[in-house]
Amino acid sequence: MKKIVKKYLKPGKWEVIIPFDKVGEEVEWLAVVDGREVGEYELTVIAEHRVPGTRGRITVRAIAGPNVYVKLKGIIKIGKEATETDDFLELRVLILDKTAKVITEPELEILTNNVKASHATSVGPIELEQLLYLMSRGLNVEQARSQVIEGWLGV
Amino acid sequence: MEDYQLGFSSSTDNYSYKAKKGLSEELVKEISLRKKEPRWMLEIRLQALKQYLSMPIPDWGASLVDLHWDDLRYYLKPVEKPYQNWDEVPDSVRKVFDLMGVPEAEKSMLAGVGGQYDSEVIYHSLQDLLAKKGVLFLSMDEGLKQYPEIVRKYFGKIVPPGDNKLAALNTAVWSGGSFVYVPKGVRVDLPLQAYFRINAENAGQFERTMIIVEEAASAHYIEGCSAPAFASASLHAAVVEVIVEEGAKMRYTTVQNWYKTVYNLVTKRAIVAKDGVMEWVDCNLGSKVTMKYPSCLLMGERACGEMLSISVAGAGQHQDTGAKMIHLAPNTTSRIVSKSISKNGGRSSYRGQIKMVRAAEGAHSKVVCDALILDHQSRSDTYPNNQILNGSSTLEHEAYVSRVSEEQILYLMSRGLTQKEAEGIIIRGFLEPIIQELPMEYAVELNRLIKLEMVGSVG
Repeated sequence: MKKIVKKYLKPGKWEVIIPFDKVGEEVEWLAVVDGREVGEYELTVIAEHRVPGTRGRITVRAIAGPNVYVKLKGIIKIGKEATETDDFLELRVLILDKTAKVITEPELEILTNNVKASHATSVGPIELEQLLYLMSRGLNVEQARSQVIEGWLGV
Repeated sequence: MEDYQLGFSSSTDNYSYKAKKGLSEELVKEISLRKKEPRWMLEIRLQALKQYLSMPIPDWGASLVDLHWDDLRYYLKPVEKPYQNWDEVPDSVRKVFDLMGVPEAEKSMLAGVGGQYDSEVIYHSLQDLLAKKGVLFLSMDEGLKQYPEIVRKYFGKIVPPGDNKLAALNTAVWSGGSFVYVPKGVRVDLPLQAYFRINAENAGQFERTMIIVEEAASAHYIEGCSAPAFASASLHAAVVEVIVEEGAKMRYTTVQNWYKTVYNLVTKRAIVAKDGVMEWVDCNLGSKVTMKYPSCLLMGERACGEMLSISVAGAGQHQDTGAKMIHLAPNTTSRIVSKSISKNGGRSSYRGQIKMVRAAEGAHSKVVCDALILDHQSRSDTYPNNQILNGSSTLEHEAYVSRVSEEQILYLMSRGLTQKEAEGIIIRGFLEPIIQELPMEYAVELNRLIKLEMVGSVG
């Protein structure tokens, strides 16, 4: 499976269209939005399935720090001809501060049957359990938090 | 639609009042005058009419171009007053309800029954025991007559007239609907049922329902809807306002089976106080177009909102349904489970919103949307909007669209079922988690309707 990784590290607005034009094409697409710098981050990802038998895995992982606005919109579009499509879209956001604002809009538009399409989104703060585990291994809160964030972003 | 079993109608010649086609200020005044309403209600109606006329027809959801607003009759009064005994109800009307089995069901399984026929509620009853405890179950018109202070306190407060064009229209020409009041601490165990029937051609039905569940009380309200098989479009635009007080619990169940020319454009909203629970159970099988997004405003700490919905979109149908959960207080929770089936070129859409404001710390929400597409002509969409505006709330959302899996079908066929039987079983299993929430008689009826719907569509 072809793998594409994109990083968005500064505030901004982006729209990405991932076309599936070749029969049987497989694409894994991962985006990381590092929202620690104050500002607005808006990312729209559209997976357009136009031909039969394509497979996609679209993942966006984001963090939202103090006074950050993150809006993630993901659309899986499956056209009439695109039978046997298989796609999964994930929008995951970790909130680091109570002043962060997060909007997620995972959409599906499916015009044919015999396909598999799903999406999932989750938004929430760092789990206390994870912090406690790391702290029990000798890290302080700040170190534990930054470990979790680094792991989350995969950097 | 030869499978629609509720397609009969009776003559409208004996109606005590039939409005001319179209909407006007005179008509609004006429309705209010005939109902002998207080002055303030007429003023609300006229104000709402102005708002209605100034608002554009919503263009963001299902297409409403085939709905001819000027051809509709906005007020149709079949009888003079609601009856309390089925024997007094005029034959032409009673026959229709008998055919649907409403009086039968009342005897065995319901705490109270209301029946609405076009614009007016024609029948109303409530168990004596509940009446003694202070439970009120009246038509909205009667509620306004007998308890004007309560109605005035809440009318248009949860769904303001300007909320959307259809809510404005309803506020201007509303007639009928239910008024339910459950006093502090009273639990109504059996469901209260209302049955809404459109009988006339080109009719507009604008019922207005208000439900107040006081502290620590609980109730379950069920509504059913059907209409005759006419070729031209009818409009059903209801507004439902629910008030759930501290620690109270309310469940509102809808089984919507309008004929496939009815536009069903409904606004339903509940406000939920501290520790209150509001549950919407919504089953949409009929209608040409349904646009309905029941919502919960979770106002008090630990308030809980829930939405369980089924929609089935067949040929020529667009079910545009969903839910809204607005978290306004700490530790509020919500859950949405939506299941849809698209077949024979039908389209089902889920449109929902979860909003967690700054004050809603520790709020939690989970949304699950599952869709089945049964053939190549059908369509399924999911349009959620999730807004998390504080740092301590969590939200989970998942959606899954697929066709009936071949493996499952093969497995069942290997056990001796035909392909059609196998598909029927899978579909029923898909809907089961929601159907099991219905009272038994409704679950049986819904299963039967779904089976009818599926005839000739799977395979």
